[in-house]
Amino acid sequence: MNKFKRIMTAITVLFFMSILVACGGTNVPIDDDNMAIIKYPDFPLTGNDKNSWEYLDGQENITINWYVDVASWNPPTGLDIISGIIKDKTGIQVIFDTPVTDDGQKLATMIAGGDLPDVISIPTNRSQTITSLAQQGYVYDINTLAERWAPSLMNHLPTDVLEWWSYGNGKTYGIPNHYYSYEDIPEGQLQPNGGMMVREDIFNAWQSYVEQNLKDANGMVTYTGLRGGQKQVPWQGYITTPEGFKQAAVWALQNYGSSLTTGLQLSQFRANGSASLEWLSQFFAIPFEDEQGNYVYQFTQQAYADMLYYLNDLYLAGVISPANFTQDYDGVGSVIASGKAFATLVTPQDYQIHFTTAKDGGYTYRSMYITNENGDAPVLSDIRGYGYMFNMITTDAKRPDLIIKLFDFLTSKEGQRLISMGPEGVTWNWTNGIDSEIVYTNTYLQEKANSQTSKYGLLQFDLLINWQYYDNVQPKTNHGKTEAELFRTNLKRPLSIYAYDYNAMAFVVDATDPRFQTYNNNLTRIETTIGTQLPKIIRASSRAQAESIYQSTITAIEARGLSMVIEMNSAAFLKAKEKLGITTAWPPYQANYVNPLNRLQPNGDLSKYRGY
Amino acid sequence: MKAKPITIYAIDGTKLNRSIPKSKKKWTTNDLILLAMAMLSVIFLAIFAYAPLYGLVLAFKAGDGYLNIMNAINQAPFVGLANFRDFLADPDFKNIMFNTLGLNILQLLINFPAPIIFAILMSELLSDRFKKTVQTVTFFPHFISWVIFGGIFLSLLDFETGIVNNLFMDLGLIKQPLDILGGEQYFFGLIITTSIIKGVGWGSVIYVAAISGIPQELYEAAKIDGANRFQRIMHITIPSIAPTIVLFFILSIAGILNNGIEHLWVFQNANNIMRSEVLDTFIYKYGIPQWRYSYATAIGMLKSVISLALLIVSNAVLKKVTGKGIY
Amino acid sequence: MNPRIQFQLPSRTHVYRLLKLITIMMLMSTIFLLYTSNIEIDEGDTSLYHTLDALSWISIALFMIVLIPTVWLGVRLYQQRKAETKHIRKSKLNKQITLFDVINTSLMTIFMVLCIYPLIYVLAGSFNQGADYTAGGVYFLPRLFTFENYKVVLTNQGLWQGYVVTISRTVIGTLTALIFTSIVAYAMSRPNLKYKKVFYWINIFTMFFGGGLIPYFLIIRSIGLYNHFLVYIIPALYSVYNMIIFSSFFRSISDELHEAALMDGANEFRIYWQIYLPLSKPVLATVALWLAIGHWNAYFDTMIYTHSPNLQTLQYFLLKAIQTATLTEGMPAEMMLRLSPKTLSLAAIIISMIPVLFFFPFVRKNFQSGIMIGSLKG
Repeated sequence: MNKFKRIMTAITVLFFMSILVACGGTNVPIDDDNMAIIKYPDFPLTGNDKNSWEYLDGQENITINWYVDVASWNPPTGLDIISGIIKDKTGIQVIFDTPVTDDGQKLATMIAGGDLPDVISIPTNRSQTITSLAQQGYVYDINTLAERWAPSLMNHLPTDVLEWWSYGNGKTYGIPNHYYSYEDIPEGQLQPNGGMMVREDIFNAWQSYVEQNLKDANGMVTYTGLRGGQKQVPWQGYITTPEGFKQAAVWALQNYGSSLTTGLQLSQFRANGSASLEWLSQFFAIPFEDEQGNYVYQFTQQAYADMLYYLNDLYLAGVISPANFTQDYDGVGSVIASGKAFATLVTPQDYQIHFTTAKDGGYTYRSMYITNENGDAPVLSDIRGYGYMFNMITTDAKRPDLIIKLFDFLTSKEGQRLISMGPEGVTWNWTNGIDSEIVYTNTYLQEKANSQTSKYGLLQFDLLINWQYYDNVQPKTNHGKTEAELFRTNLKRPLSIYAYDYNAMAFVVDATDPRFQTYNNNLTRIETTIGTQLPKIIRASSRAQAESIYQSTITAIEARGLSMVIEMNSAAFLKAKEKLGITTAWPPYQANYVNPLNRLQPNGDLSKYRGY
Repeated sequence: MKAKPITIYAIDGTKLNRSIPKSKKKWTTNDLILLAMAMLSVIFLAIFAYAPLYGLVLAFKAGDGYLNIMNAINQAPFVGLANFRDFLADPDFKNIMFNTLGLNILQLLINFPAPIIFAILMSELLSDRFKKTVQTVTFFPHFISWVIFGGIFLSLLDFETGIVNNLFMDLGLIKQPLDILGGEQYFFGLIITTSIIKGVGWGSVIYVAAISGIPQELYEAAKIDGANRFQRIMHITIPSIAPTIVLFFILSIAGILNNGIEHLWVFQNANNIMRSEVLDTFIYKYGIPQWRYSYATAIGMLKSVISLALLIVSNAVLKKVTGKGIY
Repeated sequence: MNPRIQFQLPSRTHVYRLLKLITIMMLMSTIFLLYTSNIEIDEGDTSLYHTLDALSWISIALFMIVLIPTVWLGVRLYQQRKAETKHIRKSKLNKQITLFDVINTSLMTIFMVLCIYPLIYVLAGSFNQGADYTAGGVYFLPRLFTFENYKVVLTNQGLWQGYVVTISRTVIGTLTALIFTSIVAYAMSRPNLKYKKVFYWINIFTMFFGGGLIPYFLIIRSIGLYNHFLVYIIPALYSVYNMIIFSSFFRSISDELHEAALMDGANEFRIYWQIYLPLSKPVLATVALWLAIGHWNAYFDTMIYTHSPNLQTLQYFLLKAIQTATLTEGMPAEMMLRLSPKTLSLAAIIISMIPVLFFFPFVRKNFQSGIMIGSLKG
């Protein structure tokens, strides 16, 4: 080969490469606390005499791109009335975008492609993404934006929410939704997050069967425990014991086999497991804290293993269907909607439409609970928390000063009312002044009866919604609610007596720790490993095989850096408890814990049903 | 480059001491035009094939976690072979390599001969019309994308509602539905089968064309000599299309470690992941969404190196066996 | 030139073919009408069924009317043909049907069924009402017939946007890639190309070694192709594989043509453009087909190199439709209960396949000859 030609080729290639190296890659400066130093644009400051959006004179008109990283999220069309009012108030028209899959690929390529939208909403459990965006200077911090262009936001956003999400430098880089601020939560216990449901007709049939055949003279049922030995329980509560439930499910499949395809429906098995296992571990009261107040990793506990073996037992008895392991969301949903499950451990609100369909088809599902074999009361997590989606304004946004006003409006009570109930005076009115209860207008009620309310776009723009506030202003009667809606809102209420504050478990691992990247890599691999092995354990052909798979899983996750994960989790857990101002997080260890277990009420406390 | 001088001989064959220097060829306009035409490829490849090679430097840096790739290249520290060591020490390493190589070897062993066999079988069909129909129909699946084709098979093979399971159960072949979509043991078979259904019609067209070029007299002569069908195939059909076979074998080796991510992506799920995770899907899953750019680049580079090694080996083998290779 | 237009009576064969076509059409419509009037139609009322009944009777009558002359003509033609060719005996080898033939034919039939059944399955599901479909069991024919799925899909903005993007990239991408690649291939096929070996090696080396996904992404971004329509066109302009196919074909064209053109004073580019390119129609068609299919079915590049909804290809739209509930977005709850993302995505699949089905016969005809030439020169 010609030397000259060789050189020419090499030079050409190098020439191109150097061009490419030169362009691209901005050097964002990092300051001492490991966070990027952000440059803010130079827009005129906004005052604090009134709401920040009220300073707008209607001259501003922009369109922003808002990316929501959840494939199943349904964006508003933009043509609805609520979007129109938002545009009037803030001058902003929003175009939404969602990905195809939930693996984060689209967001990653957008960032790598250097072409970010104006606002990004990410599920709060993706803490590494959120932290990386903040650390590397891709998003603005809310504190500075609010200080300059929306001071009233600090009055609208609850302080505990803002502080929960702040980093070491005291700044918060986004606003969540579905948060339950301690300012809003009423007295008493909230609904649980997960729930167990059972088909009412078969449940009643079983209860009468127990009453007639298994009950003894004292109204107790005697049964053999999972580890041998005789136990006794009031007959109404027999189904709430693990042994009793298994027997009930088998009986149901035998006698109602034509209308059932499964005894216990679990939710979809994804890459990192199934949500049903989380709920079952709460029903089985598997602690996340030891008596000294230290963090406990649940999967490696014997109690967790026992739970898995119980599920294996159910599978071998035919209670859990093999189809469950390959069903997707629609598959699970269609089982529920056609009433083909005797009992379910899915997250009820995720399938509320399906439960409603089942009810319309004649199969009503009711709540129930189940305990572990020791008879400990369930310790369920309630619905509170510090957020489901985290909304951040990116540094690519051209008008962060306007967007922060949009955030302010949506966070304010006025905005919350608009999003969840519609325009005041059009769809609802106050009964007794602001923040009393509301009453729906007749126009709205009529339109609702005729299914004509989609033009409003209610509850679609829920990215900054505060559910507890919405719940607080609802009329305390069934005014304005359809029967289906009442049914849905009451799905889990009877289990409220077993629901507790789990906020300590929502700890956020410190992302400024230099080991954070490794922690995240390990965590991902561990979760994937557990997710792969869980179906195998449950579907093992014998108890011995289940045990061996479980042991090998433990070995596998230890090889993937489990100890570091536990260490960093513990640190974060202790910090979370500090933030919450508590020393003991596990409810049964708390001083004021009262055991609420009532075997006579297998469906939970029915007096908790609300008429609204 | 100095041109070699031309030696001059006398008419009686003796070499003279003088020599005429060979004149350097002048470059004509046409030469320049041709050069320009060929340079188009160099420019293209410089941008899209060679410049990315610079990005390989990421494999030797600790660039995981950087959201901006350019920053990862420019700012991350050099760590030498650490990323490669990490991958080799990765608990899933053995599994991934087994799946990747296994799937590839199986595809080579099965998917390569399949169109040939199919073409031969088709050429043995009695009715021309039937043959044309078969060709048209089997030709069709190739035109559909994997998104569609895969989506259809996901429905067909569904555990409860899929027709395959219901049909087999009705016929009494199996008692319980087969968990084809979820079971690890079925994954390889699933991929091979679906790729055969989709690709064999298309792949066989070339062989069919080649076979149709074989003169009928050869077959008639062989029949008269008493050769049965199998012998006719072995001794006439196959040797006649041998050059085509070799050509396509070489071309398919060139793409040896590329598993066809679009195909696999459709069928990979949480249940069969132990068998369905190959290098391409692993790189994709952990590279971009997890921002592990360095790790993914290192694995990609490893893949290229292995690919290259396999290519060199198979070329050498091919040369030994047939006398011809890629280079 | 004879100005008077000769009026030719259509020959018997032509008439026969036409009649046969009409008969088959009538038969199909009869079957269709009979079927639809007897199955359950979603939201069908009695007047609809009555109409269908009436139509199916009419269709049967028409079918009978057309059938008789067709059969009569067909028989006459057959007899005529037999008489003409009676003296030509086609020598066929022993047409014994052996066990091998039986097995072979059966295998082929089964395989054909495997190839075509997915299409039937999708068709059946796409015409089936959504909620009913999720109960399972719709394998060959819809159980609860409805056009609703198609209505929803055809009114979806994303579908048409996807069509526009995919058609544009297929047409533009194929044409540009054909020209670009063949230009290079022509140069590489000429023996008098300077530094031929250098070019050859620069090309071949790229087939063995690549940078991988992430460095490639970096380049796309650096050039500014990220999230731009041209990201579908420019990176696909050239492929070494196609270049080799073209150049081996060009090499097979006789040099005399080249010499003659040179003597006429043409430069190399003109020779390429006016002589070699027109001669390579079969190879052009073949490679064009490969490229077109590649563009048509592409979705992975949409996923990685773009994020704007305006740049979504048809297949990417389908991917979204199949994997998520995109098609039911923005629907009121009552409609959601009736529809099912499954049947909607099946309808979307059928709609996206229509162009493919349409071009399929053309493709078949040209492909055969192209491949034959290409392979023999290989």
